[in-house]
Amino acid sequence: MAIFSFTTVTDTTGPEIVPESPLADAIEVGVYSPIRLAIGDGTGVDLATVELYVDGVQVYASSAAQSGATVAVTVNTGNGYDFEVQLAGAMSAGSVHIVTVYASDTLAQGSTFLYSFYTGISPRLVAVDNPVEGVLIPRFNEPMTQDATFTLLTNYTVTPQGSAEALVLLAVEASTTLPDAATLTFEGGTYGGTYELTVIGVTDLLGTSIDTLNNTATFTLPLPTEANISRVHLFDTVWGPMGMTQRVIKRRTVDNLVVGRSIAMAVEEQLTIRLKRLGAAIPYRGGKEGKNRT
Amino acid sequence: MATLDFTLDFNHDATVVYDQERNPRTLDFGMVSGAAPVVGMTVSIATVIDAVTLELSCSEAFTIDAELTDVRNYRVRDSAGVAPDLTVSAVAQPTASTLRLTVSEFRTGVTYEVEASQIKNSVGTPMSQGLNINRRQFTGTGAAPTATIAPATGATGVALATPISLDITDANSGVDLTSITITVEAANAFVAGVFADDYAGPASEYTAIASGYRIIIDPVVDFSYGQVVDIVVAADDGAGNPMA
Repeated sequence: MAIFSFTTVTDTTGPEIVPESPLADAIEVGVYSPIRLAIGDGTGVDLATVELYVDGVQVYASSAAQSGATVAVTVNTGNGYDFEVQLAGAMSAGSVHIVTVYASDTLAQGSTFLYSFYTGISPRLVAVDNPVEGVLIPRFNEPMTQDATFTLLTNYTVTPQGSAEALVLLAVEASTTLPDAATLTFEGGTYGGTYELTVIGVTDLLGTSIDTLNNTATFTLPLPTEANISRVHLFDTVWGPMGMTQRVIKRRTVDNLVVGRSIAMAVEEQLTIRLKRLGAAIPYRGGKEGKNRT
Repeated sequence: MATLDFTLDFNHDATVVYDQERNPRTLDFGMVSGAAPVVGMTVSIATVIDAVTLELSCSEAFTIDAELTDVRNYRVRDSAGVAPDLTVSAVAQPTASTLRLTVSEFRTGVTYEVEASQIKNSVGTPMSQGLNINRRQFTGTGAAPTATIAPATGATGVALATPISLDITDANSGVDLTSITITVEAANAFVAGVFADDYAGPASEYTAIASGYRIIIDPVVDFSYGQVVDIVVAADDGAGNPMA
């Protein structure tokens, strides 16, 4: 029988403080939400040294709740304690709240931990408009900080859905007249195609980052209108550029049948162009098959 | 004159039997019961040199021939028949009347009996048969298996999550896995190839290494700060010698 022994490292650090609810940097926290955190240590936490502050107000010290707060303390499995703090009143909505914790272990080694969370809704992307060809307007639920991050092109990503062709973003611009929106210019894409825009990194006027669970929106590029569709000029196609005087002279000398046939060809060409842009097959022939001459 | 026919059996108690008018009698040859008469060359002394070496000193010089160093002419066994027979793997002749047998490891405290056969003295007379003639008893002395540990015994400042690594080896006969018991802080951590639940962390494993086993014990729960961790290891080698 052989006997061995070794000695583990001694505790040289203070307690570990871990926010449990709300987590650090949490958003959309209710104004009446309790604040829960855990304090643990290898050699044990000295409960008498624990102090808790919320927004600078002491809510726990000397093993007792302070400032009208209710504090529940339970022993945890980490040689320490779990704390649940219920403030005397509601926290202010739409603002950042700071929790500060001091604690020492039984070897008098102290720790300080500070974290924050946010009550209310953080910035969200709510819609994407396409008011004119080559322009997208992402709209947020509140005014945004229009800084370099806001106009950083890599913070905006458009992903084609289904068979839509890729759409290339060219630039991002901010406008003081539209503080809750950005202006994106782009090229490419498919009319009628569906896309998804994702925005990251941008912040609201309080510096709160966009909610990563609500930072995408889908949109569809509308079909072209008469105002922006490509044009085929009838007489340019048939006759080529001519002056008005020349056209009048020519038109008077052309047989009506020829004119009618030209119009038909031009209309068909316009139809073909439109169908191409919609991705449809091109109907070269229509109507009934002709009969052979006898 | 009567005819006397008798047989001498020197391998056992000396008994003389004769048949005269079908009236058996025992004759007294002046011998001590149980002791064979010394005839020719004998194995005088059997000495354990180390855990795997036995030296036989004989009363006369040998005839040096192939049979003298043939391992099949030697047998070493537990006189009580409990421990398994030892294997003779080599025979050397360091002097004119001395042999050294290399055997599988002795078990300490066991009384063995070595038997030599086909040995002849210098004039070619074969060794007679019998205890203390061609057979000699002796007490075996084996070597205990050894263990090395990491973190080293006496180490300080060991990280809380450090697994314990033990190499248990025996160069002569290996280690019997089923005999291994390791306790950590007075609780069984590894017994006969099985880890206790509290010590079956992800890094826990045992593997065969040269002459033994490497056993890594990963406690599920880390040690605490400043803890003096005591480990006790018990194991037998392949011959049954316990760890010292």
